Amino acid sequence: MIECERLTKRYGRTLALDGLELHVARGELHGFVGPNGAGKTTAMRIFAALTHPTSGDARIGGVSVAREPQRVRRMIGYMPDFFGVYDNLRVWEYLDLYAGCLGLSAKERRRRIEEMLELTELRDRREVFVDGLSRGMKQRLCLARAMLQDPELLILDEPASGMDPKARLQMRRILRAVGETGKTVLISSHILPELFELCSAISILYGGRTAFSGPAGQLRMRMNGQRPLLVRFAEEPSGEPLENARGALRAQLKALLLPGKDGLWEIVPCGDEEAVRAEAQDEARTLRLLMAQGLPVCAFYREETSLEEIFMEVVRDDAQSDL
Amino acid sequence: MTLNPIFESCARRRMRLFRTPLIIGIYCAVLSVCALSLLTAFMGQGVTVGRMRDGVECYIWMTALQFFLILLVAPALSAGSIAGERERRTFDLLVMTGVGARRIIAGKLLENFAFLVLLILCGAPVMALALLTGGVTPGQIAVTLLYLMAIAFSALCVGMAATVIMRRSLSAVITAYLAVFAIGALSWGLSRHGPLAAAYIMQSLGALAQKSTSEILMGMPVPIFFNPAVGLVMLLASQTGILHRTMETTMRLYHIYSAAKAAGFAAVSAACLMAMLAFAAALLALATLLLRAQTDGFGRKRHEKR
Repeated sequence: MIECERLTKRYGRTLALDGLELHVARGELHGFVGPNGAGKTTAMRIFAALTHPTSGDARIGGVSVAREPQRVRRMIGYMPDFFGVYDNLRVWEYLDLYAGCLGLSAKERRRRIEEMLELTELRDRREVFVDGLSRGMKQRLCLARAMLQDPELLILDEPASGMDPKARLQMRRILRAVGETGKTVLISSHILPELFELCSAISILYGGRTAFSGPAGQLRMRMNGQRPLLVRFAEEPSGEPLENARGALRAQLKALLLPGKDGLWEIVPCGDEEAVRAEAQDEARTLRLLMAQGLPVCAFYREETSLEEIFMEVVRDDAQSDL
Repeated sequence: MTLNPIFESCARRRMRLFRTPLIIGIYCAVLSVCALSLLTAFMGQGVTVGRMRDGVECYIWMTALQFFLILLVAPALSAGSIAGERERRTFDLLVMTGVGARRIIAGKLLENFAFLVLLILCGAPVMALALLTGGVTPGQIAVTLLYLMAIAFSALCVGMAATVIMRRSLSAVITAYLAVFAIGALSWGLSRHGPLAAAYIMQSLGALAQKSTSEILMGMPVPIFFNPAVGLVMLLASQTGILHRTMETTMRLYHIYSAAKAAGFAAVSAACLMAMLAFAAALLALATLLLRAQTDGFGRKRHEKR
């Protein structure tokens, strides 16, 4: 749905995007993560045909944002990070303005407005002035506005920013419902756990470039692989079974079995070797190997990397590759 | 036929603002106080047939006051419209609907114009006070009000061009006021001192009476037609016939006065109206093109250059 290659955007001397590459599949809920100034908003504005790229191009559903901005806008619902609302309009009047601008007929406007109020759980606020809405409600109203035209692609820039936990939960529920309709959604957020829970794919931006882009599970797996496997035994292992297990691990998996803290044992890589890969098959093989040596395994797991650690790790990798 | 949604929404929002009735109230109050003061001063000794001239003078002053109030309100009104949307961060949301520059400008302009028409109509009863003394007909008052509306429309177009060019409301408002002032000053100055004026002075030595209206109009310095004040004065002169001496003495532009008198004040006034509306239309076209370039055409042009 979104394809961009070598996308560059320069504001005077500041390079906001430095050859950004991104591919978002149709029907995907794609998370867009990055520190402040990474270029998320700039990239999203380019995808929405609101800012022109300095070089490179982005295609939305095969349509170039640089060549046919109007056509692109018809396919997109865009919710910016900071947006204004007309405070002295009622909720339905606010939506009616944009529905009118979209060129919908009066009947169609009424139908779409009711649908969007239902979806964003604002039906009971229909007659309320926008001024009287909470921040979370205004965010949902803006989401309703973005979806009025039934767009193929939704671009949501920090849709949950500034919301309290309850409002965030509500927004997440709505976004999940939107995702289930088969729409492609590109969401940027600083709240990583929410993105990982919601999105099927993640892109991490750093310094105007893509530091990582792929399935959310793959990212988690890649990072978790750097953590040791932890094993707890019912009885402290010793003697021949322990030595056999160590020998087998070294020979077959190039890993060491070492005593750790709190009665846990760690399986760590030998020397410069990579750790046992965080894939189910490899982990199952390791467990089988320990059991085969008669060790009384009662717990076998890998300590999960927190999402913030994953994010910082990817960003650090990317920064180091620049040097 | 559906109403322009931007017009509909802006009008709804304006009428809900506290300051809207306040502006209308102040506008009416200023006009009423001035009208009553003038009438009291002119007709302190009671209304007589001989005092008819005082009533007409009051009507002229009221028209002049409305003219200045319109020039005070109109540029600021439209200059804040699109720049205000940018500042509120609602402009991008409008652009994303694909509504188009022409509809955005039309919606904003019509809404501002409707508000000014409301203001002018609120001033109509004050202008109609002249009917008490006579000397002015209801039809003449209606024509003057329409002329004021045309001036309001032109001033709004100046503000509209400014709001598209400038990104901030304040700069747009300042630009609009400067532009209105520049149009007035330049059209007047060029007519008095410019080469066209000099050429006309040479021409005007000839016998005006032997020339047709169109010949006289075409011989007059072109910039003078772009001055709305000149158009309004000519209109009032054609209606009341009491401004001639004022024009002779204060305008210090005797050749223009002579030519206008020979061509007919109404004809000069109509020419000014047409020039003013043509200028407004040109400004609107410019504003639309600029806005379209800012929203729709940005990508294509840059891309093709590369």
